[in-house]
Amino acid sequence: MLKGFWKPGGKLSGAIRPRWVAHPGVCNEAAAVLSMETPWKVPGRGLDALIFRCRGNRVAAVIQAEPPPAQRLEEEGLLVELRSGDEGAFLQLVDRYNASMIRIARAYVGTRAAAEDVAQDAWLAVLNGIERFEGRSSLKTWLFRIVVNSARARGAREGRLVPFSALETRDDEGLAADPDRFHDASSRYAGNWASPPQPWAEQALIANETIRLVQAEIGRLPARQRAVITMRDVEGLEAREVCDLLGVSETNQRVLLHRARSQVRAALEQQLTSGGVP
Amino acid sequence: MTASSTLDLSCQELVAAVTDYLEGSLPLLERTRFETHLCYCPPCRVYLAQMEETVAVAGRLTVEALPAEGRDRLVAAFRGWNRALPGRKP
Repeated sequence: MLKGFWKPGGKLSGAIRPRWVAHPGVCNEAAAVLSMETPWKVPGRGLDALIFRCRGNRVAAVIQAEPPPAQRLEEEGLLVELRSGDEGAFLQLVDRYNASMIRIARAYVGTRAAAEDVAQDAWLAVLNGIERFEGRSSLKTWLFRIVVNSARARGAREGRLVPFSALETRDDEGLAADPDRFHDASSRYAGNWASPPQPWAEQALIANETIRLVQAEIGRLPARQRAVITMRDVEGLEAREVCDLLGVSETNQRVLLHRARSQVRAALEQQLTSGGVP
Repeated sequence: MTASSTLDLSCQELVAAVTDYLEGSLPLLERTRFETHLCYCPPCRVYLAQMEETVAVAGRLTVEALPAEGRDRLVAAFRGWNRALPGRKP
């Protein structure tokens, strides 16, 4: 069975006719005639999902309209305003994404100042490319692609030709978890918690102080870990998007993410466990 | 070696595999060992919850204000871009 998405206004919708659909690409059985099962509508958004059945009633495909997340809708509004030359829309985008762009750029250039320059250059590239942005990726992914490209170019000029995927640097070494937390090999409890983690108070997790701590800790991570955790956890990109943007394998992406998250967790633990909020 | 020992995972191993687990990239047997360990190990359940909480807090970072100087440069760049757009009045 094929499952898929089409973006409202995207390619596939043009191939769908109201009652019966002949769409060889949708079903393995060549030129199968598919019926469309009760599509339902969402006001103002057209069709939301289509279920295709082959003759014999086997479900061949479920094609859903990609749900536009709230953020995406908001971004679409910003894009329209930006294209019409609205300065406020531009500054909203800058405020929203600049910090992440700097964190990402830092993986390719030597200094924070250089990363800030890269982000500035990237914003100019965004303005110059905005007419060409087609919405095939989210605006966020597109922004990050521009920043990665600018940062790579800048890094190359600085003579930092180390590819992102070269993992074995001093920076990225180190165990994700402190071995002292576990019983050592001489113990009959080897590998089990010697000092187990204590649960965190929910209240403390939503405190601004805690959020600032995480922000600061992400800032202290080795550059590549910082880029990955920024894209994945701060900005919520998918793993495959991050691999694609940074040119790393899935495994390396996971290793970097694991170390980054483990480090941030450890910092949170230090703050949150010794008697509530120390 | 008993049959149960092949399922045994130490806490330290679980901690090392926690991201692979959350990413859904553990093979079935490994995932089963992971989840079996969670069943009888409250501290590891705490650890897993903390990793998830860490991800959640990272998703709530606040907007960091851009330093005025950088902001001014961007505003200037924006205005230059805006004037150069076709159909704009100079």
